Amino acid sequence: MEEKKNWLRGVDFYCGIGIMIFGAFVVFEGFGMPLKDSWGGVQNVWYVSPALSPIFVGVGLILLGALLCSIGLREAGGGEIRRVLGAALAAGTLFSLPVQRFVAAVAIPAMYIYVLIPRVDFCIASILFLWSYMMLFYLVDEEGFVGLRAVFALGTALLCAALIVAGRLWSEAMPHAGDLLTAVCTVVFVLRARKISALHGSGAPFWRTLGLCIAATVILAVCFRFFLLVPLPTEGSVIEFMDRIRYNEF
Amino acid sequence: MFILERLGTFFGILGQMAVTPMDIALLFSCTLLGIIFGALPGLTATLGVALLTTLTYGMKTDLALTALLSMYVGAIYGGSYSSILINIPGTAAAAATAMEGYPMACRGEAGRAIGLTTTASAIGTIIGMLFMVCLSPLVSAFALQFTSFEFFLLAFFGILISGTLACPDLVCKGWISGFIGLFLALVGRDRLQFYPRFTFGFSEFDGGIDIVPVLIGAFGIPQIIQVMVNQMKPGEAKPLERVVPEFGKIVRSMGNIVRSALIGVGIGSLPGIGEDVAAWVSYGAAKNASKHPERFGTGCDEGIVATETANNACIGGAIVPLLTLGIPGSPPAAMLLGALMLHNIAPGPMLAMEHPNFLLEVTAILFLAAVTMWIVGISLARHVVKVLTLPPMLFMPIVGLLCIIGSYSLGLSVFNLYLMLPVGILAYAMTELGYPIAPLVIGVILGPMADENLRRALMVSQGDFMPIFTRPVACILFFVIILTFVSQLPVYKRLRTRLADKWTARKTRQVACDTAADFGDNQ
Repeated sequence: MEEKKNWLRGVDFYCGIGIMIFGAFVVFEGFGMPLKDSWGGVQNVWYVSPALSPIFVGVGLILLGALLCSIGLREAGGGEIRRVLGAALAAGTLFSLPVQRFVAAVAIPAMYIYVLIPRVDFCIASILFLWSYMMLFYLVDEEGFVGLRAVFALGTALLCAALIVAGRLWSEAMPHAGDLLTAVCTVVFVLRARKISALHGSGAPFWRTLGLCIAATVILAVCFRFFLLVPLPTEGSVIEFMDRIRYNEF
Repeated sequence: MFILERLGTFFGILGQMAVTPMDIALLFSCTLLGIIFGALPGLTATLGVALLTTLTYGMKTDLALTALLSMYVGAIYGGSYSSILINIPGTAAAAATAMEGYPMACRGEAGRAIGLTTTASAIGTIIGMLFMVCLSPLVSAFALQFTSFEFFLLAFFGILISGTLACPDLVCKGWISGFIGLFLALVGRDRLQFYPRFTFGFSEFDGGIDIVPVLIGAFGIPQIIQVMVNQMKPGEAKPLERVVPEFGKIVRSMGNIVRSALIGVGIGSLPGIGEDVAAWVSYGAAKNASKHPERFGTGCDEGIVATETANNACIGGAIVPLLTLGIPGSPPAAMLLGALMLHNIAPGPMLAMEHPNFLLEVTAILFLAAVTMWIVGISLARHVVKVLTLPPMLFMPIVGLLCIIGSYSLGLSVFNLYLMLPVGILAYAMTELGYPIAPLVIGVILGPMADENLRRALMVSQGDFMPIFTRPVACILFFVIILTFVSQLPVYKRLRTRLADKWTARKTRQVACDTAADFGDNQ
């Protein structure tokens, strides 16, 4: 407990520095705002200036950052502070399993939000999003996670690169090429996960989990698209198919 | 006459809601959903209210409010299920309940424990509601006298006190969190001169940061990452036999219930301090007041009655500053504020004038939600607890998907999502390093109020700060802020310790002198 607290104080020292730098940036930006100049035909005085609050917040952050630094330095001491930095930069920490799990837990929604949602049909993108989480964190144990991480990293990197770089070229010639590519990537992940989970499974039911991913996505899409009348971010092949069923266009 | 008229209106609203099938259906379904959300470790009341906000966006305001308040009441109560049966609190508010509830379940008294928490929670909600309906008009009338200086100081006090009380580690971390929230609130064109601040050329930032995606990101994303990284497993639930309401025990504990409810209302009305603090404080108070404090920690009835009454009474307390001042009293109340703003209702002192029956509507909904929660808790508890066997790693990705589509659907803007994820990651990092999230959220919510009112006040006084000292409320608020700040500084703490040591030494010397004198006299 005491060791953890010491470690936290060491980290606090570096956080304090970061907060002071951030506060200084806020103050710097604040001084760039009209303090006494005219803006939009209005002659400013300091107390009506839009810079007043940023300067106040920036100064507050600098002072609090300094306070945090001083507490960290006093309670942890110089030795602990150096040890925290050394431990944080050590290869063992950077590539440890918890860090890899954290990176994966953040990379999945980042891929979904920044790459898939604006480019791929909502249903297909969501199934890949759900399956990626289930595959890496629910279906397999730690060894299974290690076995799947390379496939996941390579697969998502290739998919993202293809969608970002070549997506614009396809969009006119083949409007649903992105959907198809994402579906193929999902199938590859399913097959690979099936193989790995047979060796390092966590005991979770494989097909039922896959069914849940598909069912949850379809239910949410139908609820938002047809009951709440929310146009989904990208409506590709699957949503078009749903539209046809809904409006009897067959 | 006025009171009778208001009572008549209240019972009219209550009767109308009680006979409207849609209201009844929403009350039961959302309370049940709330209980499930509260019971499942990893899901919180705030997240439940946040996700439901996105689904109720298209509803009429009164229906949306029914759904959201039922969810809020149900989720705060539902946290006790997992505390009692698997010793893992479903919500932070139920953490104190686990101290007594789980030992009771180990003794085979899980049904009794859930019966007690159900009845205590319902009574707590109703007492909180009574305080809400009595206090809100007084606070509103008082707040109508406020000028911009008071509103600025109130907003700043809200952020400061939330940072002081909600912080698990150093208090300055709570304040830093609040200041980061204030910074986020500054992003966008300022409302007095429309000058773009921290927009970095993105036109999407011009309107400022949308509150609801920030709230969903701050409360949803860290939960998902935590569950995934820590590989949270479902706990092994203790068997639950028949749930007994325990009326006799409740009647005998009325003193404990009233005290805990008062603590809940009081803590709930402080900005950003949630139900968890109320539960722990009332647990401590119950232990201090008990004739048998040694029984606490071994499965003592008084403990769970105190915690569950307080955390549900906190709901009414948290709604008082929300409706009267526009300052949320707890994180789920912050989410409610976001929902109200989406429905074009601006909470504050003017609310009572713009919507005269709004307070009575909220009161009626809270009352019905408490009754519904009691009925659902007593009759369906044995079925609801089956959800505790669900692995969090299975449902958290689906919750993540709901967070994402919910954030998007509020403004039909993908940019909301681009913002939600970084806020979520920031909130996760802050949580891991011991920074509380509530002050950040309170900062985002109260930031515009603080900024505008500070500048408006100075504009009126021509840059003079003297009105702070000439207006009594502003003066009190100013000195409370200074005292709150100074009392947490290490210099002050060292000085206080030194003075206390000196005082003790002087006392000891005096006692020694007196003893020596007595000894001399006797000789």
